[in-house]
Amino acid sequence: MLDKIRELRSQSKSIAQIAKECGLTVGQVKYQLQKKRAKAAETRDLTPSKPKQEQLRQDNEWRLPAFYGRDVVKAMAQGPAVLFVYWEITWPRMRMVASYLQADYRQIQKGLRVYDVTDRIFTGQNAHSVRDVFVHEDAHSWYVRDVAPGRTYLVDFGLYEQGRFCPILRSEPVETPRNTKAVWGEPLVEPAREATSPSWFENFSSYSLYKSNQ
Amino acid sequence: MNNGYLSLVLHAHLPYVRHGERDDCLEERWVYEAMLESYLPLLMVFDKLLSDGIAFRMTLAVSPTLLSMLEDELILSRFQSHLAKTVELAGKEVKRTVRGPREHKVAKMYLERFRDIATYCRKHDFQLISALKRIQESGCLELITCAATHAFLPFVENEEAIRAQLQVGIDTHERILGTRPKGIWLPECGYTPGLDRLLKSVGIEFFFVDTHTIQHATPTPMRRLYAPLFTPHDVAAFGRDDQASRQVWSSFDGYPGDYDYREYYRDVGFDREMDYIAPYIHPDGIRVNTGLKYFRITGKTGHKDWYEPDWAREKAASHAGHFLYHRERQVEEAAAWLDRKPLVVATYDAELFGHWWYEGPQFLDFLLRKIVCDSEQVQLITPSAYLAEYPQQDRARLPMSTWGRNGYGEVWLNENNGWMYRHLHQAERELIEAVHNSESAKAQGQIEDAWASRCLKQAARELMLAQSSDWAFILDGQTVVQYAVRRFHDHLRRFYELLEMHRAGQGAEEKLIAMETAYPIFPALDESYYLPVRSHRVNVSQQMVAASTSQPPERSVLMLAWEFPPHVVGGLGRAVYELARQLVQQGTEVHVLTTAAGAEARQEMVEGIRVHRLHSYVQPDQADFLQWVFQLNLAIVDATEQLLREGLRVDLIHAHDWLVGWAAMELKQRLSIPLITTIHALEHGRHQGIFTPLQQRIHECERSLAATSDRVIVCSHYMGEEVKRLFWTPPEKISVIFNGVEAVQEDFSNPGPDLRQELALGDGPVLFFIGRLVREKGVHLLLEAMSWLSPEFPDVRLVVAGKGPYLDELRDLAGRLWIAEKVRFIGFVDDERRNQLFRLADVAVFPSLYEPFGIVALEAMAHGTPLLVADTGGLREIVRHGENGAMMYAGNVESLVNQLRWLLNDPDRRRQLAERAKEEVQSRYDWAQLARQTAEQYRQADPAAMSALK
Repeated sequence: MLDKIRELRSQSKSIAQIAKECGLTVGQVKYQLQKKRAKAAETRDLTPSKPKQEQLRQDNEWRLPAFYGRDVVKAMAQGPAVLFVYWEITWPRMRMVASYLQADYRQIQKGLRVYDVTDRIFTGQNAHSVRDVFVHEDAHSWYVRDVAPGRTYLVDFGLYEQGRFCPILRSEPVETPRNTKAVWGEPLVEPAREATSPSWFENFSSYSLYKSNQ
Repeated sequence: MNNGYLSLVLHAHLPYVRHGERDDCLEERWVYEAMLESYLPLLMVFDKLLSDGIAFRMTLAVSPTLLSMLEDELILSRFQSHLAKTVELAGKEVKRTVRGPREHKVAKMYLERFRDIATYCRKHDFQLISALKRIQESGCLELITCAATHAFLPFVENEEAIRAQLQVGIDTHERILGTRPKGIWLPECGYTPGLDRLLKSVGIEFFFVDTHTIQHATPTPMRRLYAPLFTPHDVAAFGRDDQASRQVWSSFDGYPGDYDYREYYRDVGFDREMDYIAPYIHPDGIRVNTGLKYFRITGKTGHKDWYEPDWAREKAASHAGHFLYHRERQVEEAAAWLDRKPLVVATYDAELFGHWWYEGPQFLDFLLRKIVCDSEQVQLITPSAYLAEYPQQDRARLPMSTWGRNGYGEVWLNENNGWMYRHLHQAERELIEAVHNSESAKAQGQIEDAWASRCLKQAARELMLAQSSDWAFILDGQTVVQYAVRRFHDHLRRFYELLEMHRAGQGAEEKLIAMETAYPIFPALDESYYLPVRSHRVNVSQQMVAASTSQPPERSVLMLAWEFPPHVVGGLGRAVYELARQLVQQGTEVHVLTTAAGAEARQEMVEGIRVHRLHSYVQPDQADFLQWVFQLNLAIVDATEQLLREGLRVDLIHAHDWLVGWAAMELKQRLSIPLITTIHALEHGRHQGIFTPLQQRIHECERSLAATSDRVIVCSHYMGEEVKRLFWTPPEKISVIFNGVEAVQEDFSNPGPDLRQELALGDGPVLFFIGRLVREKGVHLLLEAMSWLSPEFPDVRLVVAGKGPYLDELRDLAGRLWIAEKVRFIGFVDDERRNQLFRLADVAVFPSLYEPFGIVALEAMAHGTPLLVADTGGLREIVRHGENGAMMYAGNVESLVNQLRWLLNDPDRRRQLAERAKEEVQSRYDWAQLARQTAEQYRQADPAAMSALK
């Protein structure tokens, strides 16, 4: 039974689906998986230690650098309604910000400002909507949930000083997929003319060496 | 005549799990299990169909990693042992189960089956690839490709990395299978807008997406799922039919869950006692699947009954019939309203057939025979052939989507595996940069280094292997987590080592060889696939940098100024422009970084000055002043970093005023180069003191900047004293360089009468003021003086040019003093008009209360306009009373009145003063001269120069 659950899980089935198929409750399935993980750590793991789930997750990252020395904020679309944002703010930038704010960088509330910039060339003011998300001091990534499908978003990473948002880094735009049928009456799509440059929005970019400064 | 078509598409993929260094890798077993249970049975089915003359049509996508493993000698020889062991085990099982007739039947079935497979393998000398090629040559099986290492393309950051995955995949397919694939199976059907452009550029004609991708296309497709759609770049997208899929996929109510089919979870590897089964499982005693299972699914509960091969076979046949029946109904119904023959596309993982669903290959065999021989409604076709029959498709835009759980990216980006992407994206960038630099070096004539190329190739391999979507998938499913994480880490760790070795230009050859042999995939990888295609507008700054590196100038200066023509507010912008212009002519390379001020961000060459106009995240009207200034500083730092990445060399920074202070100090620290600051004005002086918190902040910024700078330039001795006094700046750090004034072109078209008429000035003497209308300029004193002089000089008129916050008050004052009709407030004037006014005026008056320099005074002098100024600040250093102009006591209306009276009464004297002034201006305040003085300051700031002097 345990093996069946494991195999079903590896086929991308959700806990609920597995429960249905095995004739168990969701709780029972979860319990089995917990047991399985501990068991797997014992039998399959060729290393002597038995890390717990949390520690395993932290261990997962330890051998790769925590920071790359590059200021970046990147937004990715996990699905129609969820954005995943990761960032790195380098120490020199933190230093500049601290000197402007005359405060310890670590003490200031940080956050993400999510702009809906669908079909717009963003000037800083012309977003359709704006949403603020506070993030923890130690966070380097965040899931922004309940965004709208089929829209283009841009994210600023910044600080809140005296209730006001001060952006210090801006992401490239990202498009969430639509998850409904197109509205009746959408215009026909013309064939793209040039194959070497994008005529529609694209969710990836060319290496910035060849991007214009904006 | 058939009503419609059915396309069956199988996707075969395994991540690259060849581990040459050990022979007990659990994960490597996946290959042998898949070969034994899926790939070989499928090949044998196809083979039999061909030899029976059944002209079926199928499409099979084989991923490049799988292809690489299937052609690998080590893998094939290990498979041979695996097969031999399995046959041996089957033999033992037959002996062991002699006493149970139902068990025994199953055991014999396995033995026969494995022997058949062994025979087939020996016939092809274990070369599955050549068997596959032979079947392809029959024309019944079309082979298509996949991304090189099955990377999840929607989450790859750079198009260069995506293109490399596609190109390497196609190259590998072509090398191993001998033909160039026309179509591709996108990993996990992961599509994202723009991907079609790249597919087109590498010559791919079609790909596959999930059902909802087509359903949610824009505009809604008229043919629904029954025909492919063209994306904007005319690549065809075939949507998976959900009905056909569910009947096979769903283990809930799909065929594989049928009670007569073999149960996957009762394998002898787990059921038999250890000492019996030990030779056939992992040497460390870890139990694994052997492929011998005796039970059928039987029901929903844990009770399992013996497997009956004949019952299962019958079921497979009936399911095939059932499947076909539904496809026929589907096609019949669609053909009724569709304008062409409908196409149903059924896509499945190849591993489903045989491995998860033991009877899968049998089902497929039955199905293909039935369709070819019996069906009148449905005909098999490949996507290529369908496109050939119907070359025109409707065009639509498709959303980002996958065939994973919930249809989007959740499986590969969640709390378990989201952390991976920042590392992958960084690695992508570094590889692209390394390849690009290598290419540039080649373009500049450096010989290609074999070592460097090998390092980059292997680095590309490591990156691609790290990009396999399988690792994220495993982390999501929480199966062999340790393995996936270790693979991911190892590849990236080696990747960075390789880049380091590449940068160093040399290194341990054994290390490189070890890495190349550990993962011998893609031997002919062409790393130039990572080169950026020049698809975007050519970057002007690139050109500028290139131009500068080709002929290195004497010195390269980064000039930071918050204003620059044409966006000027005060004198700072013009001064920076004039200075930069002259420096450029004298051989210094100058890059000015300034704000775009709401207009378009751009780079341009202005009379040899390289001007970079920048956007900041916040517009001036959106935030308070200080925040906007800070944003500009961030933008300046970012722009500088970008220029440095593009190859710009900077020798020193020249900052103008506190507004660019943060950026200046930060860049000085980062680049370890000298910083020179010109202080054009001080906050302290503007308001005669510091009174508000904002002014205090600015004052502090000025202080920091002065303290951090290596040298401070001021425009007058007065300013120099101020700086010393307020900031305790050591005197040897300060130098006085005047602001200059442009030489005036002699223009003899007399505008006098026109202006007089236009402004209704009458024939009397004209006084002229131009400048920012703020209190410190003292215009109110001038108005009062006018009112005193009015009785004596009733024809005197005053022209006040310029804007500022004080304007309304001044107008009021003029009214209250009863001189409103004698004063003209004409607002902002352009250069031309200003020049005309200077020429027209009889006296130019600047009664400032605070004036760090007074460039307008110089302008008056340059035009030969008699000058009256207050004896304050920088004006004291420009004007000498009675020699080149007149001076009044600052702030003193009576003094102003006296001087005006004197000047108005003596036109000859006026002219004399003005002539002398004009001569002086041309020599002392010439910009070329001042630029030379500035360049001298640059030299002094350069520590190398200083040490050379010693």
